[in-house]
Amino acid sequence: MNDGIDVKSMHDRGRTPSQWKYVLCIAPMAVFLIVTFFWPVARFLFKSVDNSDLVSNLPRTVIALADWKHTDGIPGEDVFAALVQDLADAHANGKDGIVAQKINQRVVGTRYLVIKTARIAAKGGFAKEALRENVLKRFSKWGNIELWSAIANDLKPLTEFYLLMSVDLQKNPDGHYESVPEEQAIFLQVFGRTVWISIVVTLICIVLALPVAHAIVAARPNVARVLITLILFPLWTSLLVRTIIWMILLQGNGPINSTLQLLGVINKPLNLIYTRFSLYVAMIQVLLPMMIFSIVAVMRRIPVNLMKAALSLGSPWLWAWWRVQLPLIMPGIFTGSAIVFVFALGYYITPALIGGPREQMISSFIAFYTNKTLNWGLASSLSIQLLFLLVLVWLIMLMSRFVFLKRTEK
Amino acid sequence: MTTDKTETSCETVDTHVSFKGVGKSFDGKAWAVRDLDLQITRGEFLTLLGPSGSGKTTTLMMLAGFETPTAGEISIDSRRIDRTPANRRGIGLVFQDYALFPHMTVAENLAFPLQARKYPRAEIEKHVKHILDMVQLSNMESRRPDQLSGGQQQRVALARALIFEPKLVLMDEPLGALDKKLREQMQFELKHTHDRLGVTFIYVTHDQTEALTMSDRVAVFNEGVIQQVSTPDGVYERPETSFVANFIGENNCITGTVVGSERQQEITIKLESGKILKATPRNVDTNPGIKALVTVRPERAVIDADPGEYPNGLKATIVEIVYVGDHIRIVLDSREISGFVVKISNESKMINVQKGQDVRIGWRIKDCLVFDITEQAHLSVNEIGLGSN
Ligand SMILES: Nc1ncnc2c1ncn2[C@@H]1O[C@H](COP(=O)(O)OP(=O)(O)OP(=O)(O)O)[C@@H](O)[C@H]1O
Ligand SMILES: [Mg+2]
Repeated sequence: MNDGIDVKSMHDRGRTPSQWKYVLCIAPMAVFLIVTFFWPVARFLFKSVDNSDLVSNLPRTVIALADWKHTDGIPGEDVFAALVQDLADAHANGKDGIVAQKINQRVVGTRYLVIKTARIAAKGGFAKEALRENVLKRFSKWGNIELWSAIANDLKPLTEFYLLMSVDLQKNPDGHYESVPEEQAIFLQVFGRTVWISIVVTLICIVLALPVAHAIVAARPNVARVLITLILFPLWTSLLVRTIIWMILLQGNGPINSTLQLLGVINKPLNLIYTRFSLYVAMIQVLLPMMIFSIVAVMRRIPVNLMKAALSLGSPWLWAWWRVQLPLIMPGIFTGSAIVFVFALGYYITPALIGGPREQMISSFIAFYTNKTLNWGLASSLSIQLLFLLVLVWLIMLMSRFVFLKRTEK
Repeated sequence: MTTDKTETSCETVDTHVSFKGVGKSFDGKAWAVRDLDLQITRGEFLTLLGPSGSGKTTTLMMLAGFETPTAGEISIDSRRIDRTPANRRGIGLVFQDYALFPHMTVAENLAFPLQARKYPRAEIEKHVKHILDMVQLSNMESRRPDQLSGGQQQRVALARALIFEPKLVLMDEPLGALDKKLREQMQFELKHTHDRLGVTFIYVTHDQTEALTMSDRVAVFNEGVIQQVSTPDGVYERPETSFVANFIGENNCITGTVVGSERQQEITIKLESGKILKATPRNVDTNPGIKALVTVRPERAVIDADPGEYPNGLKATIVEIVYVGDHIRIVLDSREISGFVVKISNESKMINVQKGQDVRIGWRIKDCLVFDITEQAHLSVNEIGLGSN
């Protein structure tokens, strides 16, 4: 017993200095990553639930609306007084724009209503008596019960509004979750499309990569080098050049269409660009090398004698490949698929440039809400869904790999 | 390249495999295998022996169907198989690295050739069980290859090559990766298996002891050319080329010039020192003046022997006495050759020799073989003369 403790403490003593070295080795990179990546990403992701812009700029309204329910009808004098006071303060602090934006995100078309109300409130333009009536007379939109319940529903420091919206859900005035009206629902469909495009791209990459990887592994070293260089060309080419190439190639009177027409296969130009087809071509062109290299890396480690042995044992080539080669290549296919799929999920410039409107993927929407409408709450929520999707895919990969290896281990 | 008389005299040779003028060149310049003529008898244990790069694997791979001959023809049972794909040749093949399928269990590895032949399930199980018994691995059937020792993997590889009952089994240095002890045990097992099954084995090795102990016949390769095909004692006792003499076992080599021949099977050689030796010509013209190589096996040379019985002799000084266990090596220097090796039996230690002592080394005429030196010009005498074993 005593011996055990002694040995352990000696063991720990012996280990401590090297642990410090270990920490020192890691520290600069860890600090760099935390400062430049994890912290900003966490900040951005927090935007999906952050409601402080609304809550902190409407402190009185928050209190006044605390007990209000939409069944009570249009709020009373006290609420209007609180709102007018809050908006006047917000205008004075230059925060009326952001409040207007946040309310507008919830009820579209209320931006000017809020800004104008704030401006008049700041000037003291509303009479103190019968304030409610006064406001309603000038801005009849404040008599909209939907607007009030949208505001009242969401006057908490943390909001679920954006997250719900990112999966086409909303909270109705009763506090129940429901789907948004059909004409507003877009994101689930875009997520589905994104996943589908990524799956198709991954599968096509696997099918195209296998023979190429075989060729590279079988080739003499200098031939293999040439092949690898050729494969890498698309990756080395700038996005702009590649995009122009696709446009030239795929346009109505481009080489593909004119060749097909010349051969008499078609009689009027096919619509190739701004289609799903052109998107696949562009994505596979860039993602295929990663699949090839993942597979080649694994195949290089498989002894050539295994295939020879399988053949000498009387098995037809295809069967030998299926039973002996493929199971051993599988880890490479898994790795390659994970890389290709994850990259594909995040594509946004390529779909924007050469995909049609029905080819836009989720990242395009994230970029749109981040840059164009500054709806960071929604952009962040969509990012969280994408992240969630990635984790899900990763888990599926891990599990299928586990199941697969278990099967081959047995 | 001639076959030993003992075998060719037999009239009813049942030829199983035949190479006729087979050549293989990978780059169109150098021959990896050249003018290969070889008849392999049914049920024979034939070993291809030769130094690294001499074309043994290439020969085996042409027979197995993984390399196409550049010239000549290969037939099995008098049928040409040059165009038959590897998977239809029905040849059992064992690789040096065993080439067991790492993702399959032992039983699955063994079932593979039977599944490829669409055996029914029950039949496969029966065969697998039977062969596992044969190679004594019955309790290992559900292990994977990396959970087996080297010797066990070797047995699985052999079992897998035998399970579909091929008439011809090829093995490319199957014991190369094993340690000495295990190797010897496996040699015994392999030989035993061969005797029991009566199928033809073609075995590749560069270990001459292995070749000599296991084979019915040995084919000695050098630089893509067969030097000699003969029984183990044939290649050891009656080498036909200086290469074989040097490669198989140890030999003391002395260069000299042919003086002439007075009798059949006897030739007179003059060494550079002027010393005259009587020897047996193996592969040399008896015309005077030809440069020749004289060889003597270390165990056939005797120290301080009776000159009547051992007419050839050199005066030499003992420079080293090495106790090897089952024998003693005595290294001597003389005017004609330095590093002459004599092996004497453990018991003749009674001959009380000492380092620095001057003695006479003697040997018989029949143990002194002479070869044409021109065909061996590219080999350094020192390198092969004493390098092996
Ligand atoms: N695939 C190949 N391409 C080019 N040259 C080859 C190839 N395989 C073998 N060679 C050459 O052919 C010659 C014979 O090779 P081989 O493998 O048959 O020798 P080996 O007798 O089996 O030697 P080892 O005992 O080292 O296995 C060598 O010079 C080798 O370099
Ligand atoms: Mg070899």
